[in-house]
Amino acid sequence: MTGKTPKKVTGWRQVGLLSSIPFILALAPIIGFVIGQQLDRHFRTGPWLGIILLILGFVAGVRETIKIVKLSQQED
Amino acid sequence: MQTPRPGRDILDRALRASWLAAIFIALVLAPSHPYDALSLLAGQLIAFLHFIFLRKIVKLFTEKRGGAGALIAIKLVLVYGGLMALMSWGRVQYAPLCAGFALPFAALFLKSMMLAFGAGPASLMRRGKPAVLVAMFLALAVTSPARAADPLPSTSGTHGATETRPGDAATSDPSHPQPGANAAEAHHEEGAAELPNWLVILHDWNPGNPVINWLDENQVIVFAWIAGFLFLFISWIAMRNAKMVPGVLQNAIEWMVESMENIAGGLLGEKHIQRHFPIIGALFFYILTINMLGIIPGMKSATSSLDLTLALALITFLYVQFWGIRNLGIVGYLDHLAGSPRDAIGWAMLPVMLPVHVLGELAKPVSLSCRLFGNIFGEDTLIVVFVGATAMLIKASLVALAVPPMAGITALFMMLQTLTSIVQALIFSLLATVYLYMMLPHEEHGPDESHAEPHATH
Repeated sequence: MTGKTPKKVTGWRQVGLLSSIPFILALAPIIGFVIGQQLDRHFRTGPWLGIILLILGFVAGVRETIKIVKLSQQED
Repeated sequence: MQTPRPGRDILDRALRASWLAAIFIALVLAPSHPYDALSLLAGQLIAFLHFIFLRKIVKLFTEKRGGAGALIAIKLVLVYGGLMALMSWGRVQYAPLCAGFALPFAALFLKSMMLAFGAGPASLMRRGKPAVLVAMFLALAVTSPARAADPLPSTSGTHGATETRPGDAATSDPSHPQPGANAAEAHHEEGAAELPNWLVILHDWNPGNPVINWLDENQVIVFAWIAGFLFLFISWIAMRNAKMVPGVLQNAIEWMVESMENIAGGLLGEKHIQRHFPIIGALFFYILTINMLGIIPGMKSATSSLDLTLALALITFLYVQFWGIRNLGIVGYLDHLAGSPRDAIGWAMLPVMLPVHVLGELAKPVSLSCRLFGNIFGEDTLIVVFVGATAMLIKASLVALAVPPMAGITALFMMLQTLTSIVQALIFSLLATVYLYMMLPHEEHGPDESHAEPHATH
């Protein structure tokens, strides 16, 4: 039943993957910032953990994007 | 049609389209709300810079060339610095700024949808420019009455929509009961962006009943249950007398299940699909049923609530992590989360890479849920805006003028909603499959990444 990946499926996979890039890019820093803020509130560390996790979230977003672009270009 | 090159072509076109849209909306807004127009353009500019830098960074990384660090630093200063500067500017309007920032994202999403249907801008142009003109006029038609009427403070905000409950509208002002069609308008004016479903009407009819109250307060759960039972019922009807030569319903269901299995199997491979298809197929058909339920008048798509989409994404997330741990083992899973450090530099980077990996993993389910929720909620809101506008025009005794075009537009959006329902269900389950694929062990990789031992994609 599950033979070689049809061409149409590759198209769908690319759509799924590429359309998730904007969300991951926008959400990773936001999630980082929110977690950082909660940690800041808990440990009373001012804005620092928020800022650090925001930047790490940005890095994570870019990293996931690179991974997704690579995966979308990978031939089946 | 030329073969689409994912990435560059789509991004260029999306950015161009978003600039056109932003300039057009800014021109419409400029005479009455100059700061809104400026904020919108500023948001668009920030998002544009973000994408331009991102493309360069991704290119440098994928082509394994240096200089990405400097580029990231410039991007951080320009984009995030610009955003901070804008935020501290007193006259900036947050809603248009966010809208401007979201425009390229929306355009990119639409473009990637068009890639799926093989409908690039060239094919749209072939069908004639009238379509583009009609779209522009429709956009104008939508923006002008909305601005003139102006009582839509929370239709764009999810919190406003969920907090201002339809039931509250009726109970807070008992002297004005809103049965039937009028409830749509009352809804609209109260700012809750949903059409009245049968629970709202039931609640308006009998506000004191505790059972109805409970049902009304838990609408999302009720409609999710209805969709679940409907899904089970249809499957049961279709398959209770399964025959070798299938009937119409059995044939349709078998075709859908086999198509889905082929698509997911094409990604996961024959080895894994038998084990994982039950959850992937269930996700697809369940979300499809929920989405389609919203098209029936009096019903509601439970996926237009972030609660349900987040729950579905959480199930996917836990499932993927469970299989990650089961396949890689606890140590292998932790190694995967830490970015597989193999040398001194890798271990030194551990405190940075661990949160980066964890944040990346967390972003996946949130992205899944936000997309599904955003699309279905957006579609619902569009239809509510049109129904609300029609109701307003009917109230102003402009029946002959209002009803035919508005009904046409609403019908058009309902057709679009059907399409989005299928596409979103497919994309949700496909992405769940992709996330699973990234976590499952697989030997075949690119030529530079082949390992003998099973590993997850890093």
